[in-house]
Amino acid sequence: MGAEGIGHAGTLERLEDAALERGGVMRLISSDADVAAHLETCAACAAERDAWLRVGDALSDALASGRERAIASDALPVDLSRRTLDMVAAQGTLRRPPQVGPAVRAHPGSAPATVSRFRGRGRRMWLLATAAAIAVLLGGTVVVDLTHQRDQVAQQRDQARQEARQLADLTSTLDALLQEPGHRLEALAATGTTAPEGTVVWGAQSGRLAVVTADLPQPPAGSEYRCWVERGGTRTAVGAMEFGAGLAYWAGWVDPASGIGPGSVFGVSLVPLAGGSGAASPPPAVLSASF
Amino acid sequence: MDPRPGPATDGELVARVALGDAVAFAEVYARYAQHVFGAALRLLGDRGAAEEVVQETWLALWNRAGQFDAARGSVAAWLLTIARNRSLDRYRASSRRPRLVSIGGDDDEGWDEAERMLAAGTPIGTGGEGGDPEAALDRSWTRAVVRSVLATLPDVERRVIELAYDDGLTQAEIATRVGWPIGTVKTRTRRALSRLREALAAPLGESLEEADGGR
Repeated sequence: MGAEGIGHAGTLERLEDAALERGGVMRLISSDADVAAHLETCAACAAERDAWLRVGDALSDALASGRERAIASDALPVDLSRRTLDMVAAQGTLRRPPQVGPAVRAHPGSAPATVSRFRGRGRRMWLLATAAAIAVLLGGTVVVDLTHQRDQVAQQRDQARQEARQLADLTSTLDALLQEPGHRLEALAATGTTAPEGTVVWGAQSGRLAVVTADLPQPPAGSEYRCWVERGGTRTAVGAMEFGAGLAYWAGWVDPASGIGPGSVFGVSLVPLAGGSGAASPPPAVLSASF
Repeated sequence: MDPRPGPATDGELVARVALGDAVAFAEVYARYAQHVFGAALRLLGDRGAAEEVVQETWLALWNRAGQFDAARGSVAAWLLTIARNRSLDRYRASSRRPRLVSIGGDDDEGWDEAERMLAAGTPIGTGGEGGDPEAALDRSWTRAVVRSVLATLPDVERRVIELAYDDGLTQAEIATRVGWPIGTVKTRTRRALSRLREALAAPLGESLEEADGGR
């Protein structure tokens, strides 16, 4: 077979097969004239050859270089993720809001969105850091003059504590879900668009799901955003979005019988508080994610 | 609505990090922090320093996610390139380790530096002839990355890799040795090699500083 006959696909396949064995790529090049000829004229395939050679050399060298430095354990410290998030929250560069798509998304039945979608997003989306910051606040680093408007301050403090507890729970759930083997993380998008506007994390092992978005306006009075899972044409309500620290979120368990699986959809719809979801047709999703 | 075929790709996650998505950021951490920590720990031998490398690497990810170019390498390789620079900086700066000075050729710089070290009372030893200390450091880092990735592989994948690349067995010989169908052996070897290749995808050389520019 001539050099033109073997082509990219054939060359790449043989290279990949050869890489399965130590020295295999070099043996292939020296023994397979078709491959050698193709590599002479094809930069892309030559780059593939080089990549496999680099992996093979690195692997052989690492395995042949004797016992490695004695390490008691290379397990990640459990609190390093939190410390890293705190550090990035303190030192990271805040995002300049990008201009993406239409300025305002239309939520059926919702109040007009008056806030630019990404305004302040860099800080608001920093969910975990926000929770930590509130925890610090409650830890007493801020001195409040309680001699004036004591009741109002107490009310705000109680509300902040409640919000902190909720966010701490969410943070804890997210942390656990992201550590769970086989977890799925999907972008939450407004209906009819693909731009990510939030995130859904699902852990099949624990049966827990968490959703977070910074782009959902407060629901109009007398309504709420209800979360649901749709699978095989059947929609099951799982909870309602909560609001706090500039975020909308929900975390909880999803019944395994109606749980997330291939082809299922997680969605959020605006529904009236009175009357629930008993409408003839299910309310349209304002945000959804497919699995 | 079309169901998506699988979990978000690394590139998609970094694109979302660039928009300020903290959950996507945490997902990248969940996927690769172990690789970075394992490699830094193996090179530096200091858990505290390795933790700092992880923190600084993810700070760089947050600050420069918008600069990530998938055409230049994988997310894993990009993170490991940043971690490499941070780790090697620490390695060089550590007063507990000997300075590495290249002596030889037409360049007097190494000799001058050695004389300064002697004058300062610094003990001096020599390495192998012709050894380039920077290249040796690069090799050490690459070994650390390979070992870190190997440590995260499932046992069955690590085993086939060791049999193939340490013992030098063919795929057929491995199949006979472990009693698995050869197709299974090939699949597991491919999967392990793919992970290693992803981590080693960045060109190891002069382009590293560019890849990690703007510290």
